[in-house]
Formats: sequence, C-alpha cells, structure tokens
Amino acid sequence: MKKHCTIFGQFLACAPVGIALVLAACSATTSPNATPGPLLPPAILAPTVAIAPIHLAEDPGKIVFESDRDGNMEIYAMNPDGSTPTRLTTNEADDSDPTWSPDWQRIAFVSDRDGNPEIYVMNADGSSQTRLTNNPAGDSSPAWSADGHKIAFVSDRDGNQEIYVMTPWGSDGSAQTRLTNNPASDNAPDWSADGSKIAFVSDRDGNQELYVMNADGTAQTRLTNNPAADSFPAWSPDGSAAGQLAFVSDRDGNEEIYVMTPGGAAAALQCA
Amino acid sequence: MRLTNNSRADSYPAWSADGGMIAFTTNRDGNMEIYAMNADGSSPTNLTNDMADEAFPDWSKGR
Repeated sequence: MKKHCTIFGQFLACAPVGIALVLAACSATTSPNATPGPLLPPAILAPTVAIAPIHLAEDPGKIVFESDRDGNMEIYAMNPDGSTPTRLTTNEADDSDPTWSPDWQRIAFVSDRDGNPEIYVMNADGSSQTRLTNNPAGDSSPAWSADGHKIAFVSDRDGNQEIYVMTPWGSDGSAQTRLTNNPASDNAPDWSADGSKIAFVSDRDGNQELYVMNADGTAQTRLTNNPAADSFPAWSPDGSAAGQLAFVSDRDGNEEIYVMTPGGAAAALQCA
Repeated sequence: MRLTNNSRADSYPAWSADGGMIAFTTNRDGNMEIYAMNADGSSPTNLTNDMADEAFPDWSKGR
C-alpha cells in the first residue's frame, strides 16, 4: 500500500482543526518537504572511508538484519525480496540490532566483541567497523536521526536502562547525553521522520507502554495505556512528527504488530 | 489497528522508505525469520527461510 498523499493532507482530512493547526505550525518550522541538505557532517565522510560515494538517487532499498545462520549472531543485508543476503560482520562475538544511517552509507549496530555490548558503526559494505561507546555498562538499541547527526541509544551506565543521544563521531563520552532519568526501564528509541520527537518504551507506570518525547528529552508523554506490554515503536517515514507508529503489543494474548497515529499526544508537544 | 494475527510472536517492525511496507520478525514458521508485509498487514512474505534465527530488520531510508 503506497501512500498517495502527504501527512499534512491526511491531517487536514481527518484530524481535529486544533491538531491540524499545531501540525501546520510544526511543519512550518521543520520543513519536511524542504530540499534536503547534506545528511552527514564532513567528519563522517572523512577520506578514510573505504567505500565509494553513493549518489542519493541510488538507494538500493536494502534490509539489514541479524542472523546466527553462520554459527553466531552477525549482521547481514539483503534485497527487499530476500535475495542476495550478504554477511557484513565476521567475528566470534555477537553483532546485532543493525540500523541504517539516513543516507544508507553507514550501519550502526551492537557488538560485544570487546567484552560487553557497545555501539559500533560501519560502512554499508561492512568495512571500517568503529566503536562509538566505551564503558563497562551495556549500550544497545541504536537509532539514527533523520539528519544523520545523532544516534539515540539505550544504556544502563547510570544503574538502569535510560535513553541517551550521541553524536556518532564524538571522540569521547562527553558527546553522550542522557534524555530520560527515572527508576524504570526506558528503551527502544526511534526518531520521528522530522527529527523533532523520539518514541520509546517505558515501564515507569507499571508495565511497558509507548511514550514520546521531544528530541531534547522534554515533554515525555505516554501514548498507550493498557495492562498489556507495548514495545518496539517504529515511526513511519512521513515527514512529520505525526506519522504513524508501528509497534508490538501482546494485548490480544501474544505479540502482534499494530499501528497507531500518535495524533493528539504528539501534536500537543511543543515544536522542537 | 492490528496488522498481524496468528498464534506466534510477531515483533520488531521496520518501515520501508516509502511507508508502503513493514518488515518484521516472526517465529510463525517455527523459528525466527524476517517477513515483509504491506502497511495494511496484507501479503506477509517470508524473506529468509532457513533453520537459523533472524531478527531486527531495518530498511534503508531512501532519502
């Protein structure tokens, strides 16, 4: 099912006028339809990069995933029809949870090759694997912002799982900032397409629910509220913070995939 | 709105660049495989089909 209208148009058609006005204000500041500038700063496009530059019109539409088909968990990429699966990592540790950079030239992932789970980045062909985090805690669940300038991730470095954000090419931990701070577990971050919001999972209210916050960690708002566990939000590529969220829930007895429109809750947040 | 409906676990959704499809992980065939379906939940298709476990798909963004 291919979308034939813009998210702004959808809201004009189906949302209350108040929400549409809020979104209109947001879209004016975030310009989802503006001509995209460079997705990554010069630092990550350094001369040491091994792969040839890829023209932006040549997105191969690849799916990256983790598989233990060769004995332990490694990162693979394949065409959308499942053809030509190609292994990108090869080592005795577990490499997992891959996520594309928005310009599909890099892949962030999790590896315990250095003793505990850390976040790494590599070129799309598997070359130049580089560690981004380095501490005794577990770092996981990387999610790249739409402009390529930030990676949200999960770390228990401060005692329990919280959501952090870093600049992928930061030289030390000073570039890694905590966005959530409470005794519950906050995890599974995913950016809205315009980069202004982060959806995530928290059990701060007693069980796993979906939440959304501004990209700076403010205005944390619950999106789901039921006795089941809701998890793994994935924001649709619509150029607005009000796109659809696919997520997982066991509200009907076992884990199934659902989709929701954050709508009012997301629209109520201040524009970033 | 529920997109999948079967007795096994479906998880880890990831959108295609145009929003028309969703890749996900399921063990409906006995072990964890990567599937893709239309964004309305129709036509789920197994993209990996082996005895190993596959999970955490992510679709390149197409920007």
